Amino acid sequence: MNNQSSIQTKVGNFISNNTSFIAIVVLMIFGGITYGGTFLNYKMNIINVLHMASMIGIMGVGVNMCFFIGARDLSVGAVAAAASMITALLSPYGFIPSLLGGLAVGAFFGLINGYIVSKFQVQPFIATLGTQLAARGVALLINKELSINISERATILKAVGNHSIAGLLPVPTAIFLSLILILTVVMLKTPFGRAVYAVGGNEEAAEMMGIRVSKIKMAVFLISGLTAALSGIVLAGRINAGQPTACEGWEMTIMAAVVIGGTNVRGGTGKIHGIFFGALFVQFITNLINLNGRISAYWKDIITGIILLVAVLAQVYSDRKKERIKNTVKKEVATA
Amino acid sequence: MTRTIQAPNNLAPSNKRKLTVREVFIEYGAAIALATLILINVIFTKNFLSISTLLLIIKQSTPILYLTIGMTIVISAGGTDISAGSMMAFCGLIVAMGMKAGINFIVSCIIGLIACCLIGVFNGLIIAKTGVQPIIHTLVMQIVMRGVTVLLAKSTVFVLTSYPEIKFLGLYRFGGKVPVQTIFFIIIVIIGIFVVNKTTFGKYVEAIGGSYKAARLTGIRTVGVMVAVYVVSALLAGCAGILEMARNGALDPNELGKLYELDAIAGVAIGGTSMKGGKARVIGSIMGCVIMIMIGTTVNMNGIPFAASNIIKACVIIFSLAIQREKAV
Repeated sequence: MNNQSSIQTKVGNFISNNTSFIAIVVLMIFGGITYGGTFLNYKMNIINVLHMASMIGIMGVGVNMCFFIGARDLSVGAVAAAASMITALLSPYGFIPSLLGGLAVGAFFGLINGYIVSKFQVQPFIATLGTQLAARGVALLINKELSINISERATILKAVGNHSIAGLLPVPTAIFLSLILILTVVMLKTPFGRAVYAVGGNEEAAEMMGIRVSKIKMAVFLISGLTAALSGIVLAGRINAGQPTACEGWEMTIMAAVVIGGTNVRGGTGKIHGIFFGALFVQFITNLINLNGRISAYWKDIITGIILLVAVLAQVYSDRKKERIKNTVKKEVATA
Repeated sequence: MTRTIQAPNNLAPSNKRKLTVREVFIEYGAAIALATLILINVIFTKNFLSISTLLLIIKQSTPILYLTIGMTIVISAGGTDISAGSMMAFCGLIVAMGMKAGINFIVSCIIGLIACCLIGVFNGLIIAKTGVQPIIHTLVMQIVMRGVTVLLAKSTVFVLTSYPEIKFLGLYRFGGKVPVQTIFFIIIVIIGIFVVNKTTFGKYVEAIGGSYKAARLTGIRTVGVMVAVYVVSALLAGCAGILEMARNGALDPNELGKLYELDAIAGVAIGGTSMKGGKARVIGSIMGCVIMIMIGTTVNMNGIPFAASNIIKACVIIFSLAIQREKAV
């Protein structure tokens, strides 16, 4: 009896810890049944899903980090657009300058975000709203609201956007996975990672423990800016141009991916790799709707939005449950 | 305007001392910014000093002003409503569809506004009852309602210039000069100031924004007030949608009201309403809203690329937030 219940709790824990993974498996089974070979063909369909999910995901890694400290970053889409413009502008001078130029844009806006949030005590949501406007403005101004084509010689940049390693693993996905790997190690093994969780959990307590909260916040927003820029650079390679209106409205999709990936909106907890499944999930929904062909693409937004709301409600519910358990334990301790 | 700070200040003996430059900036930031902007325009912009410019700004800012007032109430209650832009399109669509179906304009407006109110009730209940963060919930609503609007409209643009009511509401000018929007501008200014500053509802909103738990313990029906707050926001967004649709003479379900909520939030931020909730400043918000519109007008009238106005707006928002930073403590 006891054994059985422990198995039950194990299964329950597995389900609640890997919701997004299970959801993806369900989606894939659904897709396989509905569309058969068209959907399950790796080289024709799934690889494209991976490709697009990686674009969202690279950006999402940084947003995920922001969620860890309980902040939102709404500027990522606009920063990516600005970075893609600078990358395209610098593409005739070789790969390294264009890469550095793009990343510099990301670092610049990331640091501005971090500075405003940590020094001025402005709510991250409002601060990044401001930088979103500014970054979009910069992106539009660079070439008078027109896109810039990438130079013919920038073969590496194009390869980054379009090629697949051994024809199986798209380069953006490789970048995405290595980003996840690096940041997971950083979050789990370094003092910085623990400090990020501490700031997200309770800022004042973290401050009292001697963590430099403002520096941690700056660093997190810097990472978010850099990943957004990286996504913009990959996007520029993918579409062969820097586009000032790129990634409009991606903030919403990315937030959905982050929350579906299991990161708590209140901060303090979460795993980096959650974004992988979250991004994949969001992209699979798009893919399934596109394959159907008859359903309007706007259903994608509606479905994504509803799933996001359900995910958040589920989070709130489980938080309350945990709180209740904590309170009862406290009471028991008090009565004892 | 200083009522929330005044109480402790009156007790302090140093009440009579002169305000420092910084405090003046904090108190009258929006007014100073507006004055500066007007001054810059008077010097650099040709033909700025004329009644027609003023009327143009009133005409352009009226829909956003409705959003801004709603947003002021929501933000001072400690929330945010980023679904307002989509709400505009949603209400506009219902009105447009009603008119296409031959229903009286007033009736279809009422139906549209009721629909908005119902969605506001839903927003308020979810946010107050479950404790989902307002940003996340209204973000979802923004996406979902935009999708629903476009689906209902089947992605077509409604052209409404043939309806006399729409023509009147959008283009009529009293005496051939004063646009009809002036009336709506004045109405919302009066209602906004009255509701926030003079009614118990306004006090409740500020109390909830200041401390949700404390407000609850003093016997305020927090859930009811929260629902009312989001209903007001939705209702005003609906009005803004109808006005904007009339001004354009057409309804583009994809574009109407898109990103307007950001302008509204920025206007509230410039106006000195605390972003953490607990303090509403309607007059500041009105000025903030006019500032946001006037930045666009300035850029247009001087032939600067429109994108530059984004950067100017961002700078103004960040500067105003930076200068207010110690107020919240």
